[in-house]
Amino acid sequence: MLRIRQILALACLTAAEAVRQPVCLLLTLTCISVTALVPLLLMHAFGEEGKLARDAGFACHFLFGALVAGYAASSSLAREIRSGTASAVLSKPVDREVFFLAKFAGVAATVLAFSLCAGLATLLSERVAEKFSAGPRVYGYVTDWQTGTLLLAAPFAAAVLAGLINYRARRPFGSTAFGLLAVCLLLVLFVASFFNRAGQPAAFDPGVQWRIVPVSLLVTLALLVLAAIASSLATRLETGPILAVCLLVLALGLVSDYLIGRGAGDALWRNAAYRLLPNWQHFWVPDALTAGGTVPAAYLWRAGLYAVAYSAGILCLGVLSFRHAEMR
Amino acid sequence: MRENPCESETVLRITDLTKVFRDFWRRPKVRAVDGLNLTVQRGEIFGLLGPNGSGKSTTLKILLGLLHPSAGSVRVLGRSPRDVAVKRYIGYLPEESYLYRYLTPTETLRFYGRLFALPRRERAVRNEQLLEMAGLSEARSRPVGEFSKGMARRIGLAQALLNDPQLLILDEPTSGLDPIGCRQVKDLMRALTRRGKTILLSSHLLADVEDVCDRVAILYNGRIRAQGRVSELLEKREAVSLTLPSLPPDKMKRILALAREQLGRDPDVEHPSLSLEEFFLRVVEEAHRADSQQAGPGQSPAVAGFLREPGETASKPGEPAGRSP
Amino acid sequence: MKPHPPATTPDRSPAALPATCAVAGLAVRAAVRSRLFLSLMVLLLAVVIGVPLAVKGDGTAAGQVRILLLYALGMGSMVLGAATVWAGCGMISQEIEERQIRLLAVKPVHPFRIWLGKWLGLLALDAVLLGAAGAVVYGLLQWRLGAAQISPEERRQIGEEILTGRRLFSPRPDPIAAQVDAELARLIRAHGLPAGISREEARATLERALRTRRAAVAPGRTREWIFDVPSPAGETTPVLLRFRLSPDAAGRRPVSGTWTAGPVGEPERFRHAVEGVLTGAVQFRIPPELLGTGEPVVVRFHNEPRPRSRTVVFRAGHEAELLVREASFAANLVLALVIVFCQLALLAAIGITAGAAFSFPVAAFTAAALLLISLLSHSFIGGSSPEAAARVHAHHHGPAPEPSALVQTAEKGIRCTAAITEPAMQFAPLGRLADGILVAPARAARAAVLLLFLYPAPLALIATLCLRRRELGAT
Repeated sequence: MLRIRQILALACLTAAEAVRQPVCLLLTLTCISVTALVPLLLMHAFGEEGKLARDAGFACHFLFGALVAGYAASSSLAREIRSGTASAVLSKPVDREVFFLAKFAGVAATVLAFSLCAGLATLLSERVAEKFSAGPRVYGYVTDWQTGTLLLAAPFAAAVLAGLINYRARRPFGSTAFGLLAVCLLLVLFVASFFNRAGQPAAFDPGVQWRIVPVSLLVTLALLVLAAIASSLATRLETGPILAVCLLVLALGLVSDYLIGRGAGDALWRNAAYRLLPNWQHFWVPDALTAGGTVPAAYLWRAGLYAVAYSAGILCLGVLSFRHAEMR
Repeated sequence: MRENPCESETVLRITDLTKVFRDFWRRPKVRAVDGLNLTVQRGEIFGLLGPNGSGKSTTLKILLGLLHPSAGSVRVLGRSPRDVAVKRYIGYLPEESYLYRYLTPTETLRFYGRLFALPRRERAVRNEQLLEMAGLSEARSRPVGEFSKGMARRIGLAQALLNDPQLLILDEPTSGLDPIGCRQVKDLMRALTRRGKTILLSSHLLADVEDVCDRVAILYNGRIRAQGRVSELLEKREAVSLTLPSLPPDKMKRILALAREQLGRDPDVEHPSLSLEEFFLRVVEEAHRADSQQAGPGQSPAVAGFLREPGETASKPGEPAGRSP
Repeated sequence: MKPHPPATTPDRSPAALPATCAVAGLAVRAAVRSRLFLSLMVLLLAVVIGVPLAVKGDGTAAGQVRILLLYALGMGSMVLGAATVWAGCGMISQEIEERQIRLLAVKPVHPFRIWLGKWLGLLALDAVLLGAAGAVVYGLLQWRLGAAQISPEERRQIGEEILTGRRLFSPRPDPIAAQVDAELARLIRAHGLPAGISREEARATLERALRTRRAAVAPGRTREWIFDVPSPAGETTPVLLRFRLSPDAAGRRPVSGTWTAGPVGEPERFRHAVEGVLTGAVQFRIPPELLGTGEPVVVRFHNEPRPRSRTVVFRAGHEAELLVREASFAANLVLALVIVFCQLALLAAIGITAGAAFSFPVAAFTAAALLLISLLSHSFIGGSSPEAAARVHAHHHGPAPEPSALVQTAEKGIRCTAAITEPAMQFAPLGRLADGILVAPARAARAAVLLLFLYPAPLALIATLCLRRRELGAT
C-alpha cells in the first residue's frame, strides 16, 4: 500500500513537472495547430474524403508524441539524476524500483494527456476536411470553415486563458495551458455538434468519424512503448542522446519489416534485430480506415498485449540499469 | 585624455540603487535592494553583511553588470558596470564556483588568462604561482568536475586574481574552505590592500569579516541599517578591559582589592584564550612538521608572487608577511 | 594609507582576437570532452557507410555511385545539420542555465565576441566532421570503382557523366510571350475570362499549356534548340547532349528519332539515332569540335515517321541540355562540401542565436520551427498555389466566395518568408555533384558571402542584444 502511494505521489509530481516545461506545451500546441491547418490549407486527395487530414493528424500525433515522450523522460529522470534531486528522494525510504516505475508512470500520464489532445484534434480535423456536399445552395466539395476556425483558435484560446489565470491567480502557465487545451478542444467538439458543415445551425450531431478513435488509441499505445524506452534510456543518457535514440527507434521500427524482416530467416543478427526492435507497423493502421473500414476490437486487444509485454521487458531493463546507477 | 580609472580614490559609488524583480507581467515580485547608498575607497576591505535575502548578492551582481538596476546609479572605477573595458580591472569570485567541469585547473586559468589578453609568458608564470598559492599544483591535470567544494573554491579564487585586479569582489570567499584556507584568504586580502587594491566582500561568517574588514555595512531588506569602521561599530565605550601577564597571588590580590574599592564590586576576571582558529592552526602546523604527506590541498605560500609587493617574501598561512633584506 | 604602485596589468584595450579564439577553443574542447564530437563522428560515418548498403538503387555501378553521392552524403549532411542546430542551441543557453556564463560575462569580453567564439568553434567541429565524411565518401568511391565487376564501358560512363564537373548549358529561351498574349486576347474575346480566375492566372496557365505543346514532337516533326556555348578547353574534352522525357512518357512510350547537331551553317554535321524505351536522363557524346566554330550550335530532334512511332514529349525545362567538362570530380567535391559547410554555418548561427535568447529546449524548438517554416514556405511557393487550395471546390448557385482572411494572411506570410529565405536556399550542391554538374567557384563564393556573412550578421546582432539585455545573474 505504501509503495502504491509512493508511486502515485511521485507519478503525479513527475507529470506536473513535465507539463510545466515550456517545450511540452510548445510541442502539443504545434501538433494541434499543424493538424488544424492541414485541411484548411491543403487540397484533399481525390477519391478519399478526409484521408489527408486523418493521416496528417495521426502522423503529427506519432511524431510529436515521440518528442514529448523523449523530452518528458529526460526532464523527469535524467535531469534529476544529474542535478542531485533524485538523491534527495532516494535518501527517503523509497526503493529505486518504485522511483523508476513512478517516473515512467508520470511520463506515461503526460503522453496520455498529449494523446487526448492530439486525438481530439484529428477527429475535428477530419470533420473540417473537404467533403462532397449536395444541397439546395451548394453542390461540390465543401470545407467546414467554421469548425476549422474554432479548432485553430483552440490552442490560442487555451494560451490566452492560461495567461489570464497566471496573471490573476499566479498559477504556472505551462501546466494550466496544457490542461485548458484539452478543455478547449472538447468545447470545440461540443459547439461544432450544433452546426452542420456549411456552418448552419442543425440538430445535435458531432459529425465526426468515431472509427478514428481506435487508430488514435493504437498510436497512443505505441507512444507508451516509446515512453518506456525513453524512461529506460534516461537512467544513463542525457536529453540529446535520448531524443536521438527515440527518433532512431521510431524510424527503424517503422521500416523494420522492409529493412530487416524480409531477410529475417537468413541471419541470426537479422532475426534478433527484428524481434528486438518494436514493430510500429502493428500500431500504424490509418489505411484500415480506407473505404469506410474500421479496426476490430480483437486487433486492439492484441496490439495492447504486445505493447504491455514489450514495455514490461524494456522497463525491467530500465529497473536493472537504475539499480546500478550512481547518484550524485 | 581619459582619466585612468585606477587613479581615482573612489572605487565604487552607489547612489540610490534600487532593484525590483518582476514577474512575466512586469508586476513587482521582490524589492531586493531599496535605495542603497554606498562608497568604497581605494585600498580598503569593505564587508557587506546581512541575513539571507537582504540584497547582498543582488548588489554584487549589479556591480558586475550581471543584473540591471531598476533605479539609481552605479559607478565602478568611474564607469558603468556594463562597460566591457572596466572588467579588465575587476576580479570576481561568485558564491558557487561556476567553473567548466571538464577543464583542468591549468586549462581554466589559461582560458581566463587569454580573455585578459595576457602575454603568454606572463600568463604561464601567473598560472604557476596561482596554482601553487591555491595548493592545487598536484591536482593541475584533474578535471574541475572531480574536485571537492573547497578545491573548486580555490581554483575559483585563483581565476579571480589572474588579472591582478584593482577591485576584487568576493561572495562568501571562505565558504567551503578549511581553516588553513580561510586564513590564507584573509592573508591574501591584507596583502592585496597593502598594494592599494580594493576588496568588497560579502559573507555570513562574521568572525572572518571582523578579522579583515576595514569598514562594513549591514543590510536588511535591501537597505543599509548600519555602516562604518569595524573598530568604531564594535567598540564598547562603557567598559575597559586590561590584559595582564601572570602575576604572583599576593600582587593579584592587591590589584583586585584596589579595583573592588574603586568599582564597588568585584571586577570580571578571566584568562584570555586562543580562538579556535588559532588553536586549530597550531595543531595542524605541529602535525605537518611531524608528517608532511596529506591528501587534498598542500601547504603553500599564502600569496602568489605577482600579487605580493616588491620585496615582500613568501609566508605560510598565519605568519605575517616579511621583507627580504 | 601608503601610496600605491601603478597597476601591473598592462593598460591596453582588450585584445578581441585572443578572447574570441579562447572562447572558440573552449567550445571545441567542450564538444570533444563531452563525447559529442566522437558520437557525431561515429553516427556520421555509420550513415555514410550504411546508407549505400541499405539502399540498392537500380543495381548498376552508376546508380550506386549516385546513391553514395546524393543519399549517403546528403543524409550525412542532414544529420550534421540537425546536430549543428542542436549543439548551437545548447552552447550559450546551457552556460546560462549552469551559470558558467557569469564568470565569462564579468571578464572584458564583448557579448558579440562570445557569440563569435562559439560560432567559430562549432564551425571548426563541422569542418572536421564534414571533411571526414567527404574523405570517406571519396575513399568508398575509389574502392567501388576499383572493383573488378565494373566493365570498362560502365567505368567510362561513370567518369564522363558523374565523377566530373560539367558546366550545363541551356538553350536560348523560346520567345513565346507574344504568342501567349495573342492567344490570351483571342480567348478572352471569344469566351471571356472565367469566373474567379485572374488575368495573371489565366496567362500563366496558357503559357504552361503552350510550352507543353511545344515540348511534344509528333512523328514526322522536328524540334530545334539553339545553344550559345564557348569553345571547350581541349580537343578531347567530353561534350554531352542530355535530354529527358516527361515523367508520364518516360519508360512507357518507345522513341524512334534522330538527333542532329552542328553550327548554324552546318546544323546536321553530327547525327545520332535513338531507338527504344527510354527512362531518366539520356546522354550521348557529341564531337567537341562542333563547339569550336564560334557560331551558335543548333540541335534538332526529328521524330522519325515509322509505323509504330509515337509523339515524343520532352520534360519541360530539361528538353535538351549541353554538358561540357570543366573541372575534375575532386575539385567539384571540395566546392560542394564548401557550400554544405556554409549551410552548416548558417544553421549554427541560428542555433547559437536562439540559445542566447531562450532556454535550451525552447531554443531548440524555436530553431527547428524556423527552419521548418522556411523549408515549407520554399516548397509551398514552388508547388501549388494556396489560392487554389483555398477555394471551395464547389459550384455555387451564386458568386463564389473569396478566400478567407486566414488563407490570405497565411499566403502573405508564406510568400514573405520565402522571399527572405530564398537566397539562402537556392544552393543544392549535392544534387549537382551526383549529376556531374559543375559546382562553380563563383557559386561557392556567393554561398560563402550569403551564408557566412550576410545572413549570420543580423543573427549575431540579435544575439548580442539578447546577451546585453538579459540578466545573466538572475536565479
